[in-house]
Amino acid sequence: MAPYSILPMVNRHLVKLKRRGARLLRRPERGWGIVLALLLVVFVVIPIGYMAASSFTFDSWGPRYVRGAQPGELTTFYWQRVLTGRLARAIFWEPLLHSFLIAVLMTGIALPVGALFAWLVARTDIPFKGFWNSALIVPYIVPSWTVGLAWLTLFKNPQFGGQPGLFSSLFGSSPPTWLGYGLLPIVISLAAHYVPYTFILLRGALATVDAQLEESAEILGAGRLEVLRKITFPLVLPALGSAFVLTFGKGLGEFATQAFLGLPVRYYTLSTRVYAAFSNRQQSEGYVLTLILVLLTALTVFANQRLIGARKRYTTISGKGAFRKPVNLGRWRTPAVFLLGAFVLLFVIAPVGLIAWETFMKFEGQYSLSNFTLHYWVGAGDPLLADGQPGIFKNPVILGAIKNSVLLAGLTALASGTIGIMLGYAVVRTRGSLLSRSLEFLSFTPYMIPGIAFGGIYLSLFARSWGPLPALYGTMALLVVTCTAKYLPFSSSSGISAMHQIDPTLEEAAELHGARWGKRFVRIILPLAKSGFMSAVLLTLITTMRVLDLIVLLVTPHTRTMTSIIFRFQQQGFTQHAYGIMLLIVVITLFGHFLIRRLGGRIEF
Amino acid sequence: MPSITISGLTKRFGSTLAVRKLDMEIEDGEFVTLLGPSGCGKTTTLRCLAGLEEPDEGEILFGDRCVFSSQKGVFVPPGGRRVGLVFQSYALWPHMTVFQNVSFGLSKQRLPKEEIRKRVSEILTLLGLQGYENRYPSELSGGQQQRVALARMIVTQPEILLFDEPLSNLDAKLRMTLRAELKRLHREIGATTVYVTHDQLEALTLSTRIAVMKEGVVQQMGTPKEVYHFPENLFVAEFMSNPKTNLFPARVVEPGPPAACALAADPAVRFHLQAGPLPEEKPLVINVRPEDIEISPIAGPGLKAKVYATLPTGGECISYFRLEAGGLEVVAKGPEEEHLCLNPNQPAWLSFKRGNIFNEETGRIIASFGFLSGEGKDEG
Repeated sequence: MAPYSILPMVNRHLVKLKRRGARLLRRPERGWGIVLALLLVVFVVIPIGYMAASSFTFDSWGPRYVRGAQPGELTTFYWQRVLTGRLARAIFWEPLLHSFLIAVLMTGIALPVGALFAWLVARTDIPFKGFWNSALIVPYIVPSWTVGLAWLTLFKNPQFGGQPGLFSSLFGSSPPTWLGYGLLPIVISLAAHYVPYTFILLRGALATVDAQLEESAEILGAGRLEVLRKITFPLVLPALGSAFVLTFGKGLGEFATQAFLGLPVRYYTLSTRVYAAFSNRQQSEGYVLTLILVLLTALTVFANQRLIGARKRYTTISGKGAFRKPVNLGRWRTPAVFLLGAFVLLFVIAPVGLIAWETFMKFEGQYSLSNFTLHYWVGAGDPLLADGQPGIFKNPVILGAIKNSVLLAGLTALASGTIGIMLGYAVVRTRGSLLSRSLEFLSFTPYMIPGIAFGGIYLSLFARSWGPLPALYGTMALLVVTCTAKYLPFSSSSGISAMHQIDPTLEEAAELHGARWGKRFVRIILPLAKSGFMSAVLLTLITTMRVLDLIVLLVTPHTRTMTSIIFRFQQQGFTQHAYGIMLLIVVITLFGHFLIRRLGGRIEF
Repeated sequence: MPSITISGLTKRFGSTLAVRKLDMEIEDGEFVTLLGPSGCGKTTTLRCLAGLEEPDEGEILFGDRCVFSSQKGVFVPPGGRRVGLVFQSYALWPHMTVFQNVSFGLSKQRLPKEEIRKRVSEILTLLGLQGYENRYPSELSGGQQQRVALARMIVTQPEILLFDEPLSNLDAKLRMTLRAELKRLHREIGATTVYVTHDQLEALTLSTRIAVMKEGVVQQMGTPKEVYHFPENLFVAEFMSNPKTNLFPARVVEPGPPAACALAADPAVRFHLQAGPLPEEKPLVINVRPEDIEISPIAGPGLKAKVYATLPTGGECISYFRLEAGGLEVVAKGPEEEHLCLNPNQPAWLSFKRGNIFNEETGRIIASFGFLSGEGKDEG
């Protein structure tokens, strides 16, 4: 080729590059998206990959199990030990069975009850609908282990540490162990927590069923039961399936309730086994168990995707669904009110009341007025009570933990709110591209990893330094990074839906007036996304305030939070302190939720 | 096929009155349209006929069969009324195939399987849907979904057909085609039909009679011609016109006959009408439809105006004028060749052919008339 033809070619490339550069400045969503995608790879993909790889290498304890083993050496020892070894039954199979049992039974209770409640509130003429709509979801707002802790105050057994519960002091004898600990109370407490969850999901599903679909059948002569059976039920069936799978998946990953009600009687589940492995520094064993737990949860999520796909087929043109005659309950009205009332009484009012009561008892288990004290709230240390721990508001350790919790929740909320908005912008504006899809998928990945497993992954990964990144273990930064990454699915999905509501032409109109990207973002996008942003921030705030499983492996004395201190105090028998902090968390989460509702936000998390 | 008699029908939702004391007679085999803006009570009335809504007061007879009476405490549930209803959203069951959708009502009648199959396929053929039996609604186009909804309604041979804005989710062309199909279908089946719409053109093209409703009350009921040409009040006159009709506040200066009125905005402008005697003291509104205005670009009889804008629609044209006297805006509609020579700001002379006079306070009609002449101040 003649040399003179090269120059225009180079020139052409230069022009192209320049154009690209200008475009990147004008429309930075692509560049942004790539940066976010890299961050997601670092904080989500690499940790899982690292853990998977590490599960095949000896950890520092390796030499104690296998003669001549070198830490870091490749091995299938841990997988064998967990799946087929001599202890496999105790380490893995039995906890797996327990986890499955708990998840199945709990979902088996929560789903029909939630469905019934949803139908009653959404479709019938039951009175006080507004009240039920707020009251029934309270168990899902407060930490999942609220009912579990309250349960202990009733059926505690001195045999397993601490003082007798209300049952013992009423009947003078210890309640049977199966009533106080293990499968039954775990299933009941978790079911109480997840009834609101299925209630919310199915209430939503019922609301999207076009009333005219049912009316058409009525006009053609179908009776009310037939309409319910032939039209309504098949239409909400995919939603029911989806609710089952989601609840089941969440049940598998639950940690705190299983720990409080299971560990005292050595009733292990997969999640408490993960905890045990990591806290005993059996890291590689912990990796194996974590991977299995992640795999199981991921399977439920994929099953759910399939079900949602089936539901999409059911969406057609929907008309004005405004008219809907509520079903007349007739003589079932009063029993229905009593049923919902009983749920609220037993699983909202009673647990909170019992927990509050506990904090005012000088000596546990003595239910009399003379035993009343404010010592555990405002008292100075008394060597005879709780090893001299001062009351909550006088206790530097607890006050420090409260400060840490607030700091952690605030920073996490801000970080994930900001990342959520940026992610939403990048995903929505590059819609249809590979980048958009992979961002959406990556940001959703943490959803598939149970909190305890997520904590385990980060524990192992950030206990050491990585190039320029220092070892983060023991710092508040690690907790913030962990929580931000784990709650990314919520913040990014609310960011995406907020961005969906902002038409690109709004931004283009500003662009035509010469507004640069930064100005457009600050003047147009942020103000319009504000309420979505605020509710995402508040939601993350209260979720972080009440989280235990995610951080229980990561906290150190310096970074203790309210929840981790409850966990420790509960194990050490400082019950009143633990319950007092619990009460604070309940109040804070309820208040935060109230704020979100005022801002018009969603609460589906 | 039965007639429908509605008397004293009242329906409240909480404290709002959706339908108040509605009386209506619908003859056997008629096609009656309930027409009105959203919230006028037309859909509620239809739902009361279907039995989906229980009225608070009144009585509904199908022929001499009472399906609802507040006094006698009769309420026949929707399934027992032998009515069919097509919803705006079609309300096809998304989890059932076309065949299952259409046969649903028949299976309720305990017909033998073969008979059901035969009747469904007959109806589907009638509506051009053969071959779609095993499709799901989401696999059909909007027009096909609409036809399935029609098939599902007529397959059970109801005596009364009810339609709730069935065409408003379709695009303009398809809407035209389906209007023709509906009209044809009504003729073939002969079932008494009640049709709800907010589209006056749809009402005019389809109905034997139209009931124009507002705030739960029937304003006027009559043939399309009556309602269009002789509106009983201002609301009907305004609602039936497209584009917006011309309304001129005026006063009587000569009770007549023949009467003369002066524009309120400029008393020098007078109209001489083939009507009278008119009440002298009350303020009036003169209503002239856009198509009842003749335009001339050359000076002559009529009111002098300036062209504001012309909007040709192909074949027809709508033009906006501003009257020189009084500065009122006038809309005229006519064949395109009459309007096309007009340019903005050019003068034009408007003469009115016919119109209606309403009492401004009550909105009731006083007279319909032809114009003898209109004159303004001579600006020249």
